[in-house]
Amino acid sequence: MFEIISVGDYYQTVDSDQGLVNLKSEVADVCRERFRRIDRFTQLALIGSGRCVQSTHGVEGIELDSQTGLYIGSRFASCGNTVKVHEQMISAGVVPKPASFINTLSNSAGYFVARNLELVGRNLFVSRGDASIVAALQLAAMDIATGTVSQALVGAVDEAVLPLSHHRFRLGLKPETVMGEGSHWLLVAPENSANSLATVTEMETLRDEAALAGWLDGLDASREYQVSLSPWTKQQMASTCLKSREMLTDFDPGLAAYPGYATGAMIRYLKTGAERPLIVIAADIDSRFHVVMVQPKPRSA
Amino acid sequence: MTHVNAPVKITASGIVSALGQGKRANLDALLGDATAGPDRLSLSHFEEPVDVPYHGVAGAPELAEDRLHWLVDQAMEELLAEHPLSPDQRAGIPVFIGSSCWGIGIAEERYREQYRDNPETAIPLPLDGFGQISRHLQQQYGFHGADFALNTACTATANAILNAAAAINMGMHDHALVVGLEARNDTTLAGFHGMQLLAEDGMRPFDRRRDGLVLGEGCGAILLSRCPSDAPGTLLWGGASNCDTYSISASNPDGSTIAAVMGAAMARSGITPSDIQAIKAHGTATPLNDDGEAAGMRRSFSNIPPFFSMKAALGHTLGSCGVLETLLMAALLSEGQLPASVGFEEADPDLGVVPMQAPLATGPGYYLLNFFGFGGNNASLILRYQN
Repeated sequence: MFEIISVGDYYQTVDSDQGLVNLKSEVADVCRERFRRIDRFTQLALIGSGRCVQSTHGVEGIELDSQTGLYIGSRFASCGNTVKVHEQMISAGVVPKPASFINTLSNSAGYFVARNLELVGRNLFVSRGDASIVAALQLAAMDIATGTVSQALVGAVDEAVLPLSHHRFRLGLKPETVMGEGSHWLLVAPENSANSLATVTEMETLRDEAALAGWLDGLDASREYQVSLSPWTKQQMASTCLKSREMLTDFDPGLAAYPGYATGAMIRYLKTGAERPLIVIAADIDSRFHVVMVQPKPRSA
Repeated sequence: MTHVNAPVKITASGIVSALGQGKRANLDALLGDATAGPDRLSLSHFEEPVDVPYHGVAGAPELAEDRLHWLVDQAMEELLAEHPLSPDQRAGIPVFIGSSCWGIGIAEERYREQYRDNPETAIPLPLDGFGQISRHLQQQYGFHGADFALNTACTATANAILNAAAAINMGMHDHALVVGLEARNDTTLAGFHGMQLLAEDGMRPFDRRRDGLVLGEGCGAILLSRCPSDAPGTLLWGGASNCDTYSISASNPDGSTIAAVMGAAMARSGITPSDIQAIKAHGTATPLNDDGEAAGMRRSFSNIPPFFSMKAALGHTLGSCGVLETLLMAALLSEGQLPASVGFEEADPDLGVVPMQAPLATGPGYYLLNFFGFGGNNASLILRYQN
């Protein structure tokens, strides 16, 4: 389908006693200018995308063309800002301030990322629960396949919002689940492009767990695969679906629970140097499963 | 030059808007002698009086979740009556959804109820708003395929249409469904009120006295299908979108990025400016939008084709305007007539462009549709009508 040619991200496990880490210095490290009145969601998007692009510096053959498509996937987008707007609106009857209102629009972060990286082409925000990265990658694949863009910068950005008890409720997670937040980015290019770290070979939306089982049955049983499921996806899946298949082994990326987990797992898997395909499975709130298969390039290649 | 990708046909569509339920009611209103002005809406939950003009949909349920479902149902039932789809077809078709509100009205309502009952335990934003429309399309109609909840402000469904066409062009699907929804909610109405973008006396796109927009409510649905390039009807021939980083709330007023997106749409469609028969402008009647769009048209066309805006009649339906205005444009082309630009009376010499002041008889040919949004998102679509 397409190649992953660069990755970069930001991640933190959230300690509710310590609060959320201040991101200003990380933002400054990747930004050409100082952006005012940006919210945490935009800060996260700037950091992750900036690091992904920084990691291409000095790599021969990778250039971030201004027409590179930009695709952000997120379950709640600017959640913290929208929560504040609703608290002020509903508890105090306050009309949203213009900057806060504009930041409730999900594509504000895309605007600032484009401005920071001097991108002027396609710029999309898409959501599909914990499978938002799958939707973003599918959109990028369409635009690459139809020649609309020559490469795509694709990110999964999901912020944590305090109090965590509220945020766990929002995400459908069990009480006391350890929470994280992250901004994970992939620079992708057409199949067989140079500098490939891995090839995304399959992306599927499966109607229910039976359809997922059918898809798994179609895998080459003579090969071995690693599988990554977020804590929330594990909550949605019967235990037998994966355990009955011996060619599948679990990959634990060491991440806490948050909607961007799938992309964080992909990036961490690529950094292990493993050569087996990774299958990332993300459930959505409607009992469907969304699957991405990533085949790392052998390091000697 | 030939178009980059194969055209796709607008096979079926459905709409509910402030102008009425169904395409016929909307066309009759647009082509009639006069369209109704906006209603007034008083938002009762604010410490200051918030009284706004609004093009709301008559007859819609009051509760937010019921309202969202009802609006979607009006559009989907018209579409499916025009082109029935089997359960197997529905289960696999990709669904591209654009909106600016999603389930925000439902979230407001639930938080308000919880807060009234117990402020200490109330949870703001208690649900995943982006999933609400897709969930209804799955549960009510069986559309279980890959769904894309696109939010690029007022270009959301224009971008949805572009990606729906791309999904068909990739060869994996014969059809793609595009749905756009804008449902009444306090966040949007109060947000635009706070930004002082609302016009108290109705919209006047491209008029010297233009002073802002009026928000509108509605839902539209389009079924796009693979087709031969000589298929009769209205075909999406091509399009483009880009990002203007001049300002988060307005396109560059010099028109350069708007000219660029129109130029890219025409280039990808294999046509030149002289091929365009008429333009459906974005035309929000805000000073900045109309300045930028007029400048873009002046840059792109040595002779600017006839152009008009629908928003003074429909209201600005934000993320759903791409699908609402595209399906109405397709229906108008089938009627052989485009309406005068509603709300326009007095030319603005500073703009250097004047919209249509009378209906325009149309025939086969290419038509350009513009959509611009917050976040610097611009999109242009090219329709070709042929019989």
